[in-house]
Amino acid sequence: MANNPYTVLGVSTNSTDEQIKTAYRNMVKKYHPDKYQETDLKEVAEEKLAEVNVAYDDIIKQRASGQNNYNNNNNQTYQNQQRQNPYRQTNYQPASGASACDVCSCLICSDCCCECCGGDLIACC
Amino acid sequence: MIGYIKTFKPELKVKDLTTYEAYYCGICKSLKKNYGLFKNMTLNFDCVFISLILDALNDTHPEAKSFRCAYSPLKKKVRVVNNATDFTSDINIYLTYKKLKDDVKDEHKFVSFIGSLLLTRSGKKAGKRLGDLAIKIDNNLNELYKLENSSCSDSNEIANFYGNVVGDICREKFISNKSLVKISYHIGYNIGKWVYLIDAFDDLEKDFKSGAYNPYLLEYKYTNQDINEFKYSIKEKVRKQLYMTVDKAVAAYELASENGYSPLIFNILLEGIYNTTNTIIEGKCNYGK
Repeated sequence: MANNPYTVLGVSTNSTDEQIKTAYRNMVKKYHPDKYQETDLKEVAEEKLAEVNVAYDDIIKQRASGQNNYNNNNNQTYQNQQRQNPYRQTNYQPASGASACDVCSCLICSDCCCECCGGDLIACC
Repeated sequence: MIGYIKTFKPELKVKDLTTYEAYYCGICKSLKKNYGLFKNMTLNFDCVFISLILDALNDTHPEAKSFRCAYSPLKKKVRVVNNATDFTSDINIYLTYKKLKDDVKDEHKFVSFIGSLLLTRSGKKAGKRLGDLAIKIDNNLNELYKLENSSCSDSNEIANFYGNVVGDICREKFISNKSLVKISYHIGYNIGKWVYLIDAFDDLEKDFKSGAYNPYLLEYKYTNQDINEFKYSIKEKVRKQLYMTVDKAVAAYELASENGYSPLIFNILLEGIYNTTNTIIEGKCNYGK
């Protein structure tokens, strides 16, 4: 089947870059081969993941060059539905809301405040 | 080990329920057609799930026929007619026949004896229709009985063989497509394992009273405490084991491309089985998540 990259990611052609990125991240999480370690499903997962990667690259390239070769014909997308899996309660959750930049600026601010009050939080600066 | 794989109706859409019922009726009708009247009384939910998985992975659009059923003559119903329902009806008869024979051997039940006599001809016919698969099932079941007789104390090891039985059944129909063979085998294998384990936990009290084999009694080294207390003490460990088993099946199904069957299959895997697991482990009805 000649794959429409939008169908592979389960998004519509007029969705925003942000939506596509989210869909791509969800797909990568879903098909990650580490989930299938010690089984022969690992190869299947790798194939799927490769497919998703190619589709994502295609979309990014196309959007950068400002063209769209695909019609919005995927009315029935089942892919994008998020289901809660009750068996995975102790899921790995990437830390959110605090990037390295946030942490550093927070530290420097605290240090400034501290020095104003006569103390010193970070001794070296 | 019958009838644990159910849908979770409160969360099911009407169209999905109709599909599910159409498959149920389809298998029932195939049983009647291939094996004669009253043989359809052996039908159980697990076989409906198997035929659904086969069609969901293949993404077939089976023929549906409207008919009237003797059990509810006033209402017209829809049934599915295709290879999967025929195949599952053979599986259904064969597994029921094997189970009844095993019950006669182990527990000397009179009802099972009558049942196995009534099913002898059908069971042999089903074995012939299944061919090689019947031999594979027999081998795995024999290994399982051997381990049961030698009082195996590892629940995973013994459930492995029942998983193989269901896994072999599920992969039978996809010989050409390699990745589908793997996916369907893993779904069947893990679901089969889950069925064996949940059945073992469900029968803990009964097996304890009758002195029959139960992997959990041996694995967690039952000593003379109260059986309910024992059940309570191993509850969380068993729950973890069962969740992990079903999660593997869910992960395998996620690799298949989604289609119109997916909401129904996910309802069974994520909600029906989850609910059954908790109901049996907690020992009470557990509606609402």
